[in-house]
Amino acid sequence: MRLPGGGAVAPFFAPPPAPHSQQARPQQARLEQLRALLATLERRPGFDRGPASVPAAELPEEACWTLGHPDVDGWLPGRHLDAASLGEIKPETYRDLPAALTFALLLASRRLGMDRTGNVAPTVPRPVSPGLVVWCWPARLARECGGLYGPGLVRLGLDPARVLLVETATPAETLWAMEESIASAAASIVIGNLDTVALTPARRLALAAAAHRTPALVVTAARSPAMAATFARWRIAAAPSAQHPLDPAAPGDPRFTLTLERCRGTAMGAALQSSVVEWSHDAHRFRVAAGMADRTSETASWA
Amino acid sequence: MPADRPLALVAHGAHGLEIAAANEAARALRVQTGAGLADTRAALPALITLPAERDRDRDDLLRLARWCGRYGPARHVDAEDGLWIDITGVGHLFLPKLATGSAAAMPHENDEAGERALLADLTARFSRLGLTARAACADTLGAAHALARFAAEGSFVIAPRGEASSVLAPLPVAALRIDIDAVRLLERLGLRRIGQLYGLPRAALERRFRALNRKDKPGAETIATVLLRLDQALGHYGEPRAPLVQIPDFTARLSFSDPLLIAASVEAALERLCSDLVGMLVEAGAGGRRFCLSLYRSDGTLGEVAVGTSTPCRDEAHIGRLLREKIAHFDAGFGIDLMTLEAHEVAPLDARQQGLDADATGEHARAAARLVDRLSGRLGTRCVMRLLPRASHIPEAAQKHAPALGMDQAKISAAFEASLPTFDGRRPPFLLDPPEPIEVLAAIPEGAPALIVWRRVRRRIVRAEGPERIAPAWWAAYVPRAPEACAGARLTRDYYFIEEASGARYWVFRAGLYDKERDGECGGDDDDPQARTPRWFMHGLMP
Repeated sequence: MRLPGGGAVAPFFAPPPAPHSQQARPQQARLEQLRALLATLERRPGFDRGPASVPAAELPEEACWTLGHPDVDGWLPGRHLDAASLGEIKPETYRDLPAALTFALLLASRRLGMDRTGNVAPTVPRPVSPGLVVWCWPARLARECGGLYGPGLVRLGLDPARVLLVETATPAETLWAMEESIASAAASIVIGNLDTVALTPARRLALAAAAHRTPALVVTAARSPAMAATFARWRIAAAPSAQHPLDPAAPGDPRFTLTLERCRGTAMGAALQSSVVEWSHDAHRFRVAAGMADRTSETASWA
Repeated sequence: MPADRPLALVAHGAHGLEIAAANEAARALRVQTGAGLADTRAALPALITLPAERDRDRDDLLRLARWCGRYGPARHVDAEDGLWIDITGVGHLFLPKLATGSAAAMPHENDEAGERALLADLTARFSRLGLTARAACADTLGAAHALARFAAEGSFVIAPRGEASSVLAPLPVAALRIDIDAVRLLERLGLRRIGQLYGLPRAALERRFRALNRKDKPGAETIATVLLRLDQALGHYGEPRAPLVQIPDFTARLSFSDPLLIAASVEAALERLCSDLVGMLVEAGAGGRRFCLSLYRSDGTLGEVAVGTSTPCRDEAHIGRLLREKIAHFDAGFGIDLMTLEAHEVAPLDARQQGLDADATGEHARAAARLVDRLSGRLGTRCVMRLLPRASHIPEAAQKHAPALGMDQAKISAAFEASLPTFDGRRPPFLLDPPEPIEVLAAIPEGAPALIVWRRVRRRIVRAEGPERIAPAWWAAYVPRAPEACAGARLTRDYYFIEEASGARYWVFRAGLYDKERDGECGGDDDDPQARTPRWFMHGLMP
């Protein structure tokens, strides 16, 4: 598997490279069998992802959905986001909700993989998925955070012509609309916004996502309990932006404090990864923020 | 209320309370419609009266008219107390199955038998609903109107084809749908029967009536109305009538001898209707964009469910799925004895080979249309939207939300492609519309904000970029202000991209220039410093 960062890395659950000689120990085969069984039991897509040496152009579609930086992608099993699963995005506090929504948009932008100007984002080998971004949220939230705005989406690398906006009145409607969209072949990614999701609907969404290989993201409220049946849970907070290349007083590329609170397929302790990541508006990818600028002097000048 | 006691409905008339309607028992005791209540009461103290509710009568009549869709698609309310149904070519559907075998041999007689069966069915159903109905079937609406009200002795009467004039001849002139003044005028002239009008020379009649001018209504107009109504009743003059609902292009119907009560059986029937309708559409090489399912309950009420599709459609499974969702919570009442499924807005649709279609984008577009249909069907078309660009440099006017139903992906993409050059500059992915007023503290009047208060929370600003100046459209000064235009729509705006200490980023603007522009709606006179201070607005949340 070739990654944007360069080196070939074995996917987390793919079988290890074949032994050089014929005298493979008998346990080895048994071990592989067990791994395969485990992957099947846990419904983990990725078992069929193939050996590590597949060129990028022949990678299965879902392997192309990454965050765009090897360090952050390294947190994930197989070094990519799971396209056939349910993800949860939580703001750190209520005030970080716009950041969480933006992060969902950015993941969608990575998923679609192509920006409006026709430039394929450099880190994505090819347009990943030709479908729609289905954005389901309660009408109340559209008033609170503002409606989706096409020109702004273009800037995030997301094609506004491919956004299908669904405004719902109740959480049940949101869940229904999400499930319908996941089941449709038209959707590339389905993003929903709910305060909290109970066990059964979460499981339904996860099963639908796995069955139709369409990723679903749910942005939930900061204080609500964690959703069940998710592949990964991200916690997002807004962070002071990067240095502007030309104007020190201006905000630069947006930064987020990104925490991977839970991720299926990683060891429990290793899952809790946190980093400040930066979104590049030019490359349409994330990168790990290169050291925080010392902002005390600027802050002082504004005070 | 026992039917054998005299009962009358009263309403306010020209001379106080008047009798608006009376039941059989009251009519037998000579209670007359239009008579004053006081006089009637004096003669018949035992009369029970209730207030007449004309609005509700009208509503009920309309509901009944809808239910009459089982007898023909074109139907509506006729005057205040009647219904008309166009049953052209419908009669044979009501014949018993055995009789239809001979349909080819004698179509004419068969039609008449069918009409008789239809009217018998109609009056029987009405009487089961507790309504007294008099029905008539004739070549013209006018003739049917007259026969139903003045000739029906049994429950219904059928005028033989082409013999309207002989059937109408013995009826009183009041049957011609003319007002009471015209009737009196004709009776004064000795013209009591419709038949008496047939032979009269028209020119002479008009001349004679012209002499009878009254102050509110010229006689010539009266006689013109009379002659028009006569011509219409006899079929010499056409009478277009707008039906209650749009006439469908294709209809499939299914009736049941035993009313359906269980949801599963209704769904099974729906499946069959869908396949019937799709069969018709396939034969015609067409697809519908709107499908209307009517469920006729046996108690004379009607449930109607309509679904729309993005593209002309004749996919049985898809139509069935859309409709099934809508009838999931349908109340079958005492049972459903007839279901019809109609296709509207039919457009040509070429046959398509399934499965071997290599065109991935076409397949994808179809899936998208299906998804939009389903979402719109349940949530409403206004809740399922696409973003569309608009040619404007004012940020909130540069985009609109449009219902996704019936929208073409290629067109949306092309529209965004065309508007790409206008998308330079920093724009937020979330735009507040309308912009929300904020309080701002700036270091210098024309400078960037240092502190804002938005939604009652103070936010200290550490970084800012701007201003980006957006001038109002010059022509805006010449058009009247739209009521929905947001505050400061006609002012120059200076946009700033600002960042809070915590990292939250906003897009704010100042409406108006210091000391130069004033928003007319800010109020206050020139000396008021408040009116001169430009106001600030929060317009979007930046990533």
